[in-house]
Amino acid sequence: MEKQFLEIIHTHQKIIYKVSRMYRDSPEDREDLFQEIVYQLWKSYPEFKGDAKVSSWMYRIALNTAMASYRKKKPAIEYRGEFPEVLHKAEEPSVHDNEERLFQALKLLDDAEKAVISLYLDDLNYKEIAELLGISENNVGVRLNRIKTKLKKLLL
Amino acid sequence: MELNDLKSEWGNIGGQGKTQANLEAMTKASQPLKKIRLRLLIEGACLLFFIVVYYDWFDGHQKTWEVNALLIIGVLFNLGNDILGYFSLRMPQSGLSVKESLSRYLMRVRRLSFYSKIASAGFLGSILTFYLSIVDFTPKKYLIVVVLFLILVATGYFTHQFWKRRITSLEQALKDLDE
Repeated sequence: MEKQFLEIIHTHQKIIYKVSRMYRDSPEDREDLFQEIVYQLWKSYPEFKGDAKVSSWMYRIALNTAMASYRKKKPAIEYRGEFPEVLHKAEEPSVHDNEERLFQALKLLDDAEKAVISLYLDDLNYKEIAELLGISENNVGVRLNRIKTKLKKLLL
Repeated sequence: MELNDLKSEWGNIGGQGKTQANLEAMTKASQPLKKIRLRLLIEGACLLFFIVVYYDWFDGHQKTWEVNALLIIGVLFNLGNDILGYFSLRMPQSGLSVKESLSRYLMRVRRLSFYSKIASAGFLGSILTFYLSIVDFTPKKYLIVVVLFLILVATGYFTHQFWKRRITSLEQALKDLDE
């Protein structure tokens, strides 16, 4: 069972990386969350029947762990709602720059919005997102519109 | 900008990637649980040591058996609460929606918070009762009682703050989902 589990996690570890990146600020905290998610996935693996998509199962556990585990209070950071000029001036932003900008923008969303957008970007449909998070499909649509407006302002 | 434009960018994100050996090591232990287990071991050892030595060191023979029993019950209750907390928090998350799962977790944390406050108050109250049962008070002993009382208040305050922060953070996550 362990071998099969490790293969699944190895193949889909991007999900854990993205959730850790979205929900924690420092590299140490992200690494801790990554480890905790893998541990929680392992603990819940016997319940995973395989009738659900692997990505849905992993997201459910990862988001649960990220939102439930306690975060130490950090000094308040003032987000200005826009990025420093230098980021806009880069003529050909590297993949790393784009990733950094995207995560900086995602940091401005609340926990639930982060969950909705990550599931949407990973191609889950409204019904799947609603079921996974425990909210209505209509709510998913409303939130996505709100997130879109926020991100448009930040990333343009 | 359309959200669909972000999908390809999102799909390329993935970090450096862990090896299967790295991932396997992560299945062995949870970092928060390791910390709780260490705290539990240290606290448990101290409390058991206290039970063993208190009778000789703190004149247990001069107290009534009720006061002695109260002290031991207070210590054991505190230890039991720590163990309950450890096993309650180590349960794997159930296969429900994130909202349902967080609601259940919040209920568990609220329950633990309640027991924890009762256990702390009971423990420190039993120590205070044990000490106060000495009849011949001297200024030095009054001072010790005041210090003990201050420790009781401070511990209560910090315990309350610790649980309040945890509960507030979970409530906020659920509120975000409800909006």
